[in-house]
Amino acid sequence: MPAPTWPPDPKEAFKLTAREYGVDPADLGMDPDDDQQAEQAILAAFLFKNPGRQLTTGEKVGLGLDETRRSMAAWLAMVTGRRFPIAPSDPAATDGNVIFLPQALPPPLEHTDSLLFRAMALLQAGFLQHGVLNSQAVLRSIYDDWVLRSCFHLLAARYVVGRWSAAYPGIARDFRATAILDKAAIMRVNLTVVPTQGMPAAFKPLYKGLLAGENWREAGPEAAAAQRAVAAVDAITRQQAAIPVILGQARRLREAYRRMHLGPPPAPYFTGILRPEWMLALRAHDQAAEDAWKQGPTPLRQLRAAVATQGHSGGLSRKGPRGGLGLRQFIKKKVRRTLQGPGEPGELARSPAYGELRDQYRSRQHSPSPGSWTPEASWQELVDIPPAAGHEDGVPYDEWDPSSGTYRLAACRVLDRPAQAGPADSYHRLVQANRGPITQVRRAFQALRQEERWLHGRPEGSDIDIDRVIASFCDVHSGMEPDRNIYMSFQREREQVAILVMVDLSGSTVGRVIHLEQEALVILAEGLRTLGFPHAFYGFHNHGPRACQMERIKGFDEQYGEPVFKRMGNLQPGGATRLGAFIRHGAHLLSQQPQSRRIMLVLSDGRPEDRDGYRGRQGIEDSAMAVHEAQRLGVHIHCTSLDPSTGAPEYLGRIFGRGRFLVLPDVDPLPRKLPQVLRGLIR
Amino acid sequence: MVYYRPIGQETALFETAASHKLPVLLKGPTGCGKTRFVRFMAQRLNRPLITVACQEDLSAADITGRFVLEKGSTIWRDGPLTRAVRQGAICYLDEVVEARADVLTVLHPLSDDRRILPLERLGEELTCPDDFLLVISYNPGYQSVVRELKESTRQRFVSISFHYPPPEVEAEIVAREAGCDADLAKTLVELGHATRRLRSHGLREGASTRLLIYAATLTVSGLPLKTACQATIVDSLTDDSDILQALRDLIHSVMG
Repeated sequence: MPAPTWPPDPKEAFKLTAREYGVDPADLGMDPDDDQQAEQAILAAFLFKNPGRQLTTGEKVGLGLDETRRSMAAWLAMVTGRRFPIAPSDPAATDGNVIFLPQALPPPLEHTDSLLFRAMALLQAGFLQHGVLNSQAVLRSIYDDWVLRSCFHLLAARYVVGRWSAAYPGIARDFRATAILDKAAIMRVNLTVVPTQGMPAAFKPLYKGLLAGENWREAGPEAAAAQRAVAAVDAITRQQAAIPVILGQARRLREAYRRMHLGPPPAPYFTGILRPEWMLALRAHDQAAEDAWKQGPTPLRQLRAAVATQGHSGGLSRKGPRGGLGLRQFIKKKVRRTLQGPGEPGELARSPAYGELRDQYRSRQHSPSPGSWTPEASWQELVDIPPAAGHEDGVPYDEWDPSSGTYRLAACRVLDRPAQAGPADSYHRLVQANRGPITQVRRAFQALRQEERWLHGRPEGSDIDIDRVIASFCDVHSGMEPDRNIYMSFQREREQVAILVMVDLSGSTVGRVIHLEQEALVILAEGLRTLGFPHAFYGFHNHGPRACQMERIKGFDEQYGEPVFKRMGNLQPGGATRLGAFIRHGAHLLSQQPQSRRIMLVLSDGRPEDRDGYRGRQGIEDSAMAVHEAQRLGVHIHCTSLDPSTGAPEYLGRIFGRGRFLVLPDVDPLPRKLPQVLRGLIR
Repeated sequence: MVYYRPIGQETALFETAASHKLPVLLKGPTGCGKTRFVRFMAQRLNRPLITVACQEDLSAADITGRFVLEKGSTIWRDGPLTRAVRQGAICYLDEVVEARADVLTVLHPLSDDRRILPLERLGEELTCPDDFLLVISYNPGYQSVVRELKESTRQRFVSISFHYPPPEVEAEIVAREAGCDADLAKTLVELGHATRRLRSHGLREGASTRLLIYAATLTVSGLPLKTACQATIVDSLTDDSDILQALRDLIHSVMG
């Protein structure tokens, strides 16, 4: 691709970007003479795509992200107080939760590369930490105007660098050091590198301070707008003023550049790019999910509409007028009567909407689908219809209702059944691929098992306990019955501990998480086989309160063999996380073990959540109560969570208690970390 | 005079509990000032303090006492707990969850309304004088299943929770203890505060106030600040190479 020349007008810049995506701009049907149209055509086609560049085999690169990711994430957490997962994508960006950084820096490998990575991470985190991207209105403003977005980006970067530098002297020095790096100063429009030479004077003041050198001093009339913008941003003293000032100045700049027929000012490599579309998409998704919840499952809405057309709408509401008969009870009664009595077609059953519902219900009765949850599939739980035949088999558990301060009796059912078996070679492949970690874990667990220490005051043993002999001698002299426990014995094996490992298999674990969970389980299983303590592995997920499935991967009494290998190598995610039910069942299983010490290790990736209102406070408080109940049964529970959200420590602390959970915002270390956690609990 | 900077209501709580002869449980992370607090309170209440550092081999006989041979005859020698009961002292069992289970059994009749210490070997039962006070401490951050305090034990005590002090107070403590200037103390506290953000995310505990005081003390004695921080904070907190690197980077970020 030929390097662009200055001035890159909008059309030129858009054409280049289109080529980056492998699309001919002519195919977009835009008018090459209309800047506005060109922008819109490009934006419409590409806004939601990630131009992320993948490294090609053999490509020369600088420092790789993987080499520094873990320590950088820890450093970033300490500096910002927030835990940002770090994932690869070029240019550097954020979606509001994750910090994306290039898979590797440009060559050559230099000792300053880690500094550059830190500066990039800190800048993206700063966009969130210092409130620059927190406003929905700002995101919308910069969303569909690329030039405005670029102006906003550079001014915001300037503001963020200033804020961090004021807070930490070392960071101020780091940013000054970054400013002189050649790599940091690579200018790009998206991924296209553009020359510094010949850059329009109107852009240059935007880089002064962000980048070192004389290149960015410009005093001509064209630079006046940028100079004013930069001065205004530098004068910000209060965070509340930041957004209005930066956005206002960016708009003025945008207008100035429009008059000069200039496209977006390029961004220095280390500043990455802004992705308001990602953040808006995530927020829109969350909002849509919230709205759907508020409205209830689709069939229920249809049912409600059907009921309304039958003339019952007058007093129907969730609050339960009509002499205390609320919609929920009304529907339950009607549906139950109709389903149970084929010869009693009620008025409800005559409605077309109800006919569809009945079919759905009946089809679920015969073939309960363990796939992903849909609102349509869970309507029966919402109206509390008696569950399908197969679902009545589970173990009923009460649930804690924090709003009333009472238990809901038999509110859920847990089905304890063998997990689905897959091909056995999957397990063996994972063992092969993890030979190194498995050897380490076996060695560590072996050391645990063979803890060696002298036990004093034993009735028999391999050596005499001098202190006890003296004590006994004294007893004899004092006319007392001497203690006969005067030996010391050498303990080689410690007291056994019953261990239950429970793995979250809810739908949110699809993809990399489930793969790493599986890898972690295999490594842990190999370690536990060495240890020889009684242990079991279960997966858990549910499809409503009456179908909480505890998938038995390996039971306490089960030996390792092909059936276990086939199940462990075939974890299938889907459904929700009704955590309280699973903890209660896990505690029940452990309480049946003869060992006095019992450990439940829970591996989860998010909040307790189900589709019938079991979320938020309800989910957390019921789970916390379940943990409390388990503790009363002598079960020690520890949770390893893969939830990267900022609120994770708070709700995990509420559920499991201080010091009884570990958050891994980055899932990659999971296979290595899980055995360490268990070892720490047993030691 | 032992220096202790009160953070909340802990001194009032302790005094009131002591005046009603109620045993006290102190819980909090390592190095946050639990032991110092007990020393301070003992001085304030003008009572002797007997401290026992509990460890896994500590048995009931070790704290109550045993017969020993002396000049051909046996004599009884009181353990620290018995001594404390006889003297009307404060007996402080530090990190009590580390001790053997029989130690906790001995504590039970001492920590309810009976306030007695049975000495089976002597055939005696000591009744505690009014000034005797039992104080135990533990760190709930322990994750080991074998290091938990049983309900039956913890429900006999008035509990006082300790946390790391607010930054400005912690800086005051560091400056006072190490004899350093306020700027150095503020920088170290900022560093310590940042490390605590990594608790449960790579570190079991963040840097304690005690470690910050050590760092300040070494610095005041002439060692370069970064060397002092490396020795007292970085290397004391972890052996994980990535987290070590993150801590080194943090020191660089905070101190420049």
